[in-house]
Amino acid sequence: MNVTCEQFRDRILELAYGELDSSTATGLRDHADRCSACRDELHRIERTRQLAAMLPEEVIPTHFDADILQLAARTAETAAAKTNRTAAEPGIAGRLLPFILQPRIAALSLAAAVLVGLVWTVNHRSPREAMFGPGGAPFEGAVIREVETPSRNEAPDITASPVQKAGADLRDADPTLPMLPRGRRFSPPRSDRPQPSESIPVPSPVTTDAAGATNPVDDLIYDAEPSVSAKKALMPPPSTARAKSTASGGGSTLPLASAADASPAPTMEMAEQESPQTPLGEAISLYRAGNCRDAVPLFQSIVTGGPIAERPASLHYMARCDRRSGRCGQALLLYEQLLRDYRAYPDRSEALHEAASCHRRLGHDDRARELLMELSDDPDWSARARAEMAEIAP
Amino acid sequence: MFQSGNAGAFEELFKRYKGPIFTFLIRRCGNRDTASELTQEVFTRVIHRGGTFAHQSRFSTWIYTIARNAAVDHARSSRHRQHASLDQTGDDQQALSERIPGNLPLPDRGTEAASLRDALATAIDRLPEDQREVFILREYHGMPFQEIAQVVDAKVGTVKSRMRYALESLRRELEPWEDIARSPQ
Repeated sequence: MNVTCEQFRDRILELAYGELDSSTATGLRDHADRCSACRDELHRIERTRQLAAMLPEEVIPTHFDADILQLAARTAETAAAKTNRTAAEPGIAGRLLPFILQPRIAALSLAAAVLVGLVWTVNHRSPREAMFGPGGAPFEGAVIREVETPSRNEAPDITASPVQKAGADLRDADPTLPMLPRGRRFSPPRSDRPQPSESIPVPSPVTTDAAGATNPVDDLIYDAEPSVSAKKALMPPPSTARAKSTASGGGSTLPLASAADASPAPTMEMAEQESPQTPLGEAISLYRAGNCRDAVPLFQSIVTGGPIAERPASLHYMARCDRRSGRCGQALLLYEQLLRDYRAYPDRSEALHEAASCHRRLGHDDRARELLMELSDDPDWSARARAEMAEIAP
Repeated sequence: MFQSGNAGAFEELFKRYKGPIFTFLIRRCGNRDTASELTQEVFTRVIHRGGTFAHQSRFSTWIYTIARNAAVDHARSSRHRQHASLDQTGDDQQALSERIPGNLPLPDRGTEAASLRDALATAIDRLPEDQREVFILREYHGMPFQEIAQVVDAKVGTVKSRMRYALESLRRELEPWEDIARSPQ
């Protein structure tokens, strides 16, 4: 094999580090034997390598081994439990599907649906009747203007359902009424449905979620049992003003950091109202009883595969468990993840303060100062944050 | 195996990679505490992201990529802190040469070898970050250039070029000790 100096220089590093097959290496070495410049270059690299080998070994720390292995064991247990649960229990669709697919049930359901439709058509009131009452006359004393109904010659608005038209008409009369988006199903008033627990506020009769959309799946499961997600949808949104001020660090709203921020995360206070039957509720009960050992795997399972809205609060509780146990280093991994990935988390200020105190304990004054600086933007925490910043030596 | 929740398999991986990852991080970051924290972070990420390892590359490439990204993130945030206080020498500025324990058994020509170790550590510290990480991965972790290219997200040619510059810088810095390399050990 005839090797040029250029080819030699291209492959000299692989040759020096033994990355070449034997025939290529032999060809290159033959060239080095004939060419003093290439030989010298190869020798220089080899000598530098010999000197580099004098760097002593580092002493490997062991203080975190137990924490890491414990975390791995907890995660493995959670994953195994989740797999078993998934294998043992089919989801709602899995449970309903065999039932729905029975021919008799299907035929009866269809007949019932047709009957209900007929009854509804017969008893249905027109939008005009809905607004003005039976006979189309305005209610006595109502201060609303006459609404033009489309004439037969006008092209009908095929995209709007009768109920949407009624809604539009009503909004003309009262602009404060909420919009009903086109193409979305109308939802009957919540008062017609079985009410969830007393502590959960009932939202407005028309909108069923923050976006004003009606979720057919929610409608299906509503009559059965209010799920955690359904409860979340019913919960009042967190204080947006506070979330904005803490997330932006200055008043302007930042774009959401991640998809996880798209849904409102419950505050820790709201999370504590969780039913003990839910994983989050159960985990919080254990945490409050001082049993972090059993609580952490549950929080962990939520963080890795639970409802997105519950993840920041779960991370926060896990961090608190580590902090309680004096493992500030481990807690900070979780706090930093929480602060980085969930910028709109409503309890961000609490997390900032706790993380800052852990950083101070570990002597990371610069990072503690950064977090306290951000915390000082929250009016509720400003004085405390500034006082603590003053305590940190410059 | 560890991807399916096998804690025993993870323990094996942890035993095998803890030392190399810590060594890589300490030589790249230059600080023992930081390297320790980052090593924990790397393995925490491995636990949480085990399911995302797609076997398209070797596990070692994957875990070193995680470690390298953690170090890059950390360097970025420390640079921000250094800007805030330029006259402070925090922990992160601790040089590799300052960390070398003085009580290690020395080779025959003790004093000379000790000063070579200092000079070597200083020379590695002085390398630009991109050259240093390539040099460390190739020289002390035995990683082929192809894999290094994946870890540092660069072309193989670029990696080899960085390595060439790194070796040249080290050669210049260590010239006074070349006799040690020439003589039999």
